[in-house]
Formats: sequence, C-alpha cells, structure tokens
Amino acid sequence: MWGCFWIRPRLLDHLEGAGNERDRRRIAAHLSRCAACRRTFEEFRQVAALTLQHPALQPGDEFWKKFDHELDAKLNERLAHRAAGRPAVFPWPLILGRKPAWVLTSLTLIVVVVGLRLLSGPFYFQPRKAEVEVLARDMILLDELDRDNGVLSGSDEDLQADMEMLLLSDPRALEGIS
Amino acid sequence: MPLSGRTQECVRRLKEGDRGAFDELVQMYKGRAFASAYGMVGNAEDAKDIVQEAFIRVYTGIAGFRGESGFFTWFYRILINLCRDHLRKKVRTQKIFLDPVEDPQEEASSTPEVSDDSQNPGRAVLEKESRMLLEQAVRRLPQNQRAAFVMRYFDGLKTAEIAAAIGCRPATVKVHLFRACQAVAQRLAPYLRK
Repeated sequence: MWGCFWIRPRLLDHLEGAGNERDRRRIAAHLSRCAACRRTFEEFRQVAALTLQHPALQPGDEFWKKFDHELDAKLNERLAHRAAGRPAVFPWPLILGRKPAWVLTSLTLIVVVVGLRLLSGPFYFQPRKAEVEVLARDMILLDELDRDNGVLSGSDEDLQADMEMLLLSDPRALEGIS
Repeated sequence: MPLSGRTQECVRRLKEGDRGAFDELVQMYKGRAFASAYGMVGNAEDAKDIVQEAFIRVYTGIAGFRGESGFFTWFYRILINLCRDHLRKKVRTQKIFLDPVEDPQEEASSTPEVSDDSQNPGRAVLEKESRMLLEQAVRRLPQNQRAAFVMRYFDGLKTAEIAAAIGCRPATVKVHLFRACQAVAQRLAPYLRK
C-alpha cells in the first residue's frame, strides 16, 4: 500500500490530470481511504478553482496605449544614452586615468610617509623618556622602603624586572659590563 | 503562422535590428508578462515598469540570446529576475522606513479595473473580495513559491517552463507549488469553507 508521503507530492499532478493511469488509480484508491490526504486534495482543488474564477488581470486599452507610449520613450532614451557613449556606472578608473598627476602625487606622499615611519625605528611600544624616569625613581623608592622594612626581595624575577626597567630608562646602562 | 514560428521570425528580424519586430514581440507577450509581474509584485504601476524594463532588456540584449532555450523562457527569466530585484528593494525600503504592514486599501486602489460588473453589484462585491483575498494570500508567499504559483495558475505555464524561468529543477518547482498551494489554502480557509 502506498503511504501519504508518496501520495502527497503527486496530488497536484493528480488534480491536473497528469501521470499515468496506474498511478491515478492508486492515488484515487488512497484518497478514498485517507481523510488527511483527501482534505489536502480538496483544499488544492478549491484553490485551483478560485484561480480559475479570477483569471490574470488584463487592463484596458487606455492602460496599454500609455504602456506602449512610455516603453517607446524609455527605449529611445536608453538607445540615445548608449549612442552618446556615456557609461551607466561612474567610471572611477577612467577619471583617475585622466588625472595621472594627482594619482602620482598621492602615491608618492604615501610612500614617503610610510618610509619615514619605517626609518624612525621599530613599531613596538616604547615609553617616553620622562615616563621611564618617573618609573625608575618610583622603583628605587620602593626598594629603599623594602630595605628599611627588611623585606627587600632578592628573587630572580624581581632582579630581572629591575634590569628591564634599568634598560628601559637607559639602553646603554649595561654597556661595557661583561 | 503559429505563435512560436512567429516569435522565431520576430527574434531573427530583431537580431538584424528591425524595430518593427520588437513591437510585434511586445504586442504578443505584454499581456502575459504584465499578468505575471502583477501577480509577483501586486502593484499595477510597478508591474508596468518591470515589464517595460524587461522588454528594453530584450531589445538591448537580443544579441546575447543564442536560442538554446525558447524566447519565451529567456524573456520570462529576465522578467522574474526583475520582479525579484524589485521585491528585494521593496523589502529593504520597508525595513529602513519601518513600514512592514501593507495597506490593503492602497493595494486595492492600485489594481487596474478589468470588467464592468454593474449588472450585478452584489456578485461584483463578492468577486472583488475573493480576488483581493487571493492576491493577498499570494503576496505573502516566499518569492520562489509566489513565482511558481503565479506562473502555473495565473499564466498556465508547465513545470519545465517554470523551472527554466526560475532557474531550478522541475522537482523543486513541484515542491514550491505544493507548499504555495498549502499556504494559500490555509490563508483562504475561512473563505473556502463558505
């Protein structure tokens, strides 16, 4: 026996009289047994009947006269536009091509700015000299405070941090020390 | 001469630059094209603009038509793509201006008058109401389902033709149609039970 899943996709074809005789008999037999498929089929039949009641809209002569007139005008305008050789989209590449001096100047400016920035040094974070001096002074004060309290740390991490701070404040501080 | 033969003849002449052939093609297909576009976008003015644009694209792009598919399929593909673009733009505009609810009165006023039902005003009102309900139900379908539904039930296209126009497989068209019919039936349920 054929199930609803096989019948339902064929209901529209059945409604329109499509399909072979054997399938049509099977679908008809299924519809006589299955209330759900019968209801769907009936709904489709009613929708199809309603669309037949309301055939495609066809406006009157006045509408078509206006339509033909407008179409003619629009087509002429489009053809004239094409004949004039004006492209439909804004031609950026052509505009730039006509002004090579502007393009060349802009490109040169960009190259110079980027080059100067590259020559001025690496891009990673570098604190200003005044900021480094303040940090170093704070560090010394903190160390003195720790020493006074007898809690000055001698751990490797703290010493390394001190060394890094020293190098930041003066990159040449350790030069000459082997 | 049968329609397809006449169409082929017009296409051949149009490729040679005959503007008269273009006018003939317009006269042959403008009615069906308008019906489909109206079914898709739900507004006569917009549908008119879309159909006009589709014909202009036919004229300007006929050199690119190699005849691998029928002229009608090619033309419909242009038309459906324009309808999709229009709907996409409309959705974007509605999102920007926070206007998601369509006004049924405004929609009804944009519908071109078709027939004179002055002989039976009661029936005319019912007809108008059922047409409006059907149009609203169709308008709420997702784009591909709407396109498939309109082309099948308002324009009588076959599954293969719809598949070529939408750009999918015939089996997918059948799924779109099934879901579209289900959704329309669901939305029209109170009316259909009357």
